[in-house]
Amino acid sequence: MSALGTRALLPSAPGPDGPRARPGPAGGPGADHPKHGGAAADRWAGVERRRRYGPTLWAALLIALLLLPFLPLVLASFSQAYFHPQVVPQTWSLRAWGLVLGPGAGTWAALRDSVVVAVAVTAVSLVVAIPAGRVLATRGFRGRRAVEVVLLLPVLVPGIAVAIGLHVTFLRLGLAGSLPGVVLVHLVPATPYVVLLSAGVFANADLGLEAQARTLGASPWQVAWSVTRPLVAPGLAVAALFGFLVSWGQYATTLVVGGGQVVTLPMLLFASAAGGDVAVTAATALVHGLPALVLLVVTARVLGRGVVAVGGVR
Amino acid sequence: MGLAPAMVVVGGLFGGAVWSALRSSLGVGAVGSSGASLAAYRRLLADPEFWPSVALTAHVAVTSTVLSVVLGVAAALVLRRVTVGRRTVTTLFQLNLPIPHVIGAVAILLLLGQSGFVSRVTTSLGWTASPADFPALLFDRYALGVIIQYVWKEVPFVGIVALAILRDTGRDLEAAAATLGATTWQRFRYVILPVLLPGVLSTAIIVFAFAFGTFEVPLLLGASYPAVLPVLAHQRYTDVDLASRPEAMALAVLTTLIVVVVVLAGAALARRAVRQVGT
Amino acid sequence: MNDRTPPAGLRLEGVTKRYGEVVALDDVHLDVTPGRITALVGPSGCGKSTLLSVVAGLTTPTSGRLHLGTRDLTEVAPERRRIVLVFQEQRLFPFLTALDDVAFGLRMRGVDRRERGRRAAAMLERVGLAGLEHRRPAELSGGQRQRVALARALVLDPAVLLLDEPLGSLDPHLRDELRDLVVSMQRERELTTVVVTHDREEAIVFGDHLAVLLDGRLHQHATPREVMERPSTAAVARFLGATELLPGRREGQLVHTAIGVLPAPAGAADRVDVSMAADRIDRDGDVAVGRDPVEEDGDVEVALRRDLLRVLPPGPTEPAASAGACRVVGTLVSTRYLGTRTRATIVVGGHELTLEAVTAELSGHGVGGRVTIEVPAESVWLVAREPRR
Repeated sequence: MSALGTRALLPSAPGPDGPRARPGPAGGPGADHPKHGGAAADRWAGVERRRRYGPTLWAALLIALLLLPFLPLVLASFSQAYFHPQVVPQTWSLRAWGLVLGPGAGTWAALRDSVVVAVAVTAVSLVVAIPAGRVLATRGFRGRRAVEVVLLLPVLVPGIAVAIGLHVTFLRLGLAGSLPGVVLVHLVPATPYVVLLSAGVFANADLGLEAQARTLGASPWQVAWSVTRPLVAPGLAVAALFGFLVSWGQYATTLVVGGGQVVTLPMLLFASAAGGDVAVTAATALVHGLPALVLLVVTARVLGRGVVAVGGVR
Repeated sequence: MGLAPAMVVVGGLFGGAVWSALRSSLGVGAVGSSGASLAAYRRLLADPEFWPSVALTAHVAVTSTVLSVVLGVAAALVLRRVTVGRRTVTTLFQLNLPIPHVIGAVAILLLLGQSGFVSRVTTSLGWTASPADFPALLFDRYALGVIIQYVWKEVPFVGIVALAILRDTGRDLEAAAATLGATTWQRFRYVILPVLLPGVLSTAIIVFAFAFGTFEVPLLLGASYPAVLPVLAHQRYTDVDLASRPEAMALAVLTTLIVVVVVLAGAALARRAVRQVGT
Repeated sequence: MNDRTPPAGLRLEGVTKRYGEVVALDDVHLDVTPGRITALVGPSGCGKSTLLSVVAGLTTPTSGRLHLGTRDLTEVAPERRRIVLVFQEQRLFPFLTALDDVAFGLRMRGVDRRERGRRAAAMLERVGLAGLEHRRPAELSGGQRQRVALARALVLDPAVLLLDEPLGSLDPHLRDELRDLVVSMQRERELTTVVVTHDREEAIVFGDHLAVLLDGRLHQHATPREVMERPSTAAVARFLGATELLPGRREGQLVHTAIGVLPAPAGAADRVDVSMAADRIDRDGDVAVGRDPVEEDGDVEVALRRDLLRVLPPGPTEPAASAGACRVVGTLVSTRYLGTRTRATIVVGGHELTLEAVTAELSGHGVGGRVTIEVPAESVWLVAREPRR
């Protein structure tokens, strides 16, 4: 792992040598024209010299393929009767949505538990990740590589293996089948993400500004609040988002440690998919998926940049 | 040190899990056991389902990884040429990144099942007569459905990583190569590939690990026999016969071991490949 | 390498590049003299890097043509031009050693491994990097990277060598060394070379010829000496450091301005060197035309080089130091000590004139007092009156 480095193994974590470390549009023919918005596009123009629609068309085709699986999901969720040769439902209905969102389906309880668990996971991850990320980003020390491996393996090792191992202990501690138990098992895959992303955030922040602020008369607390916080908050928000999403999607770990007593949205959805009403399953899937999607898009919008490349949320 | 809380949380929980799985797999602490024994591992290796399960899991992981990497890189090569509507295209391309696997599996089920959406379209077009005519892509022995779900989910991941690399350094170096006389193909072979390789290989290792640990997807889209290793582990763990538990633990230990070895070996191989492709 | 064809000249005809509303290059006509170094100079954002990029084929001009000798290069792909651009940030391949990087272009041409290794090693030695063949870019200093970039361009024996701010990322003490290396390599091979720089001094030292690009337009193309002595437009004069620009009227050897009568510089035709005379730009553009409007009587713009203005000591007027110098009298408004020189603001005829006088010369004067300024002929630049001013 040495040459690739753990940071390379998680390309999602923008490292000190990552994309954003480059000082803006330096160099190149474009650099001479900071005023040209489109200079970057022209920087290397071997082929795409002008605005061309061809690539956009191909990309649109690709995107259509990637988004295609969502289509039957949406169609089915609004269907009353939806039998085989029908491409679109013969009769539309809000029946499934009524069932899913009505009392008795358990959707609201599952949504609540999912949110509670994911928020707790995010909060704990963030609390431990901020100091850890800062140390990883700013200090070289012996054993650093070992630390990175320790952080990376839990992300990569199958969740079911971790869950089975923890379950035995949790049974003894009375944590099995409880929300805290599920939060703890979710921390295993989620926290490393948040730590590695935070490290990237601190590596890219100009922490020299803290010293500058001290010389300008700010106290350590004032520095933390007025200088460090605005520097790292957007990046940490992204890190938090991914911690949240990791927890949001957990199935195997919740199944084992929750033991069927903690019913989060994936549990509900799986149960429905394994033998239920297709329309209800589809609607449940959308209830589960939409918050993740909305969170991603909103975060990207609010931060004014693409939340990119942190994708491997399992 | 600032690292301590994170190490306690991650190291403690993960280390604790591995430690207790290892102990249980060796029969330590079980009722009526007398010290450590490899009995569970021996039973496992003799189990007729074990090797097919290993083969299936490896097949799912390797095939998903190869397809995701090839298609993801191809997608990145297309996306980087996009000038019109670039932001929108990039955003839409990564929409399924945050979608949990259970949803992906359900969506693929409704899309590619024998009475699924695509089958309906082909029947409406007169290409197939009935659901039975439609190829059985799901629940098949090659775990096609599982692989399709992983490829669907990971292509954007690989693509976005590759795209970031290409936009970051790819263009600049390509321009330099062009003025040094490299043709389009040569620029791809001698500049783009070496530039992409380290990041893409790292991503490939991650995709492999994820696909190797797949659980809910084969439960929804795979055949019931053989089961992939994580599913097998869960089956043994929840078996009414409590004697199967050490085997489940042994499976947990083995999958962990396999992933660790593959990740380390993969990283080492990647290093060599990076060196060779460069020169 | 020995029986090379004579170097070909590069010609830009009406090259224009627009980025939406912004015009990066505006109808540039330029004949790059074969076998010489042309320094393309202008402030940042003037379009010089875009011009290089157009010549290299990395940017397609909106309109205009590009010729190398008799060959039209406008539509030719960058890799077929035999024009190598050395980027400011070098753009070495991070995955290649210095030796492999220098051999890259040869490899693209299918030169076999041993031969290209031999040539690359020789070139690395020539640029002073013997022993560093197996280093990667991350293990090289900025100056060393610049040398590798230069070596990988030169080893291809390009028809035209383009250098974008080649000294830009170097420490001052390394600059002279690298500049000498570039010049000696260029002389050896008689390479047609274009060097882009934003630094006037560097352009003057570097270039056999100077092309001044301002706001996307080529204002002047001449020898460094002629540009320095006879800037063709007010913008060039300003770029070269003129701070005072006054409207004036030329009558014979004198120019009448609001601050008084000043000497007109002697006709420069006799000072232009012969090689350049043939190379004078003769286009129908409204700048840099061959015929010189300021040689004749009429309205002109007067630019003063503040480093050449002299303040006379108080007291009895001494005789003029140089023939043809004129004197104007004004009121000293403020001074600012700069060491050996002092910056003085003097109001003459209602105009604020800033000059940098030798501190000793100014020492006898007090703020508010009257001072006499000697304006030698060399300090006066006459440029055509700008139409839109």
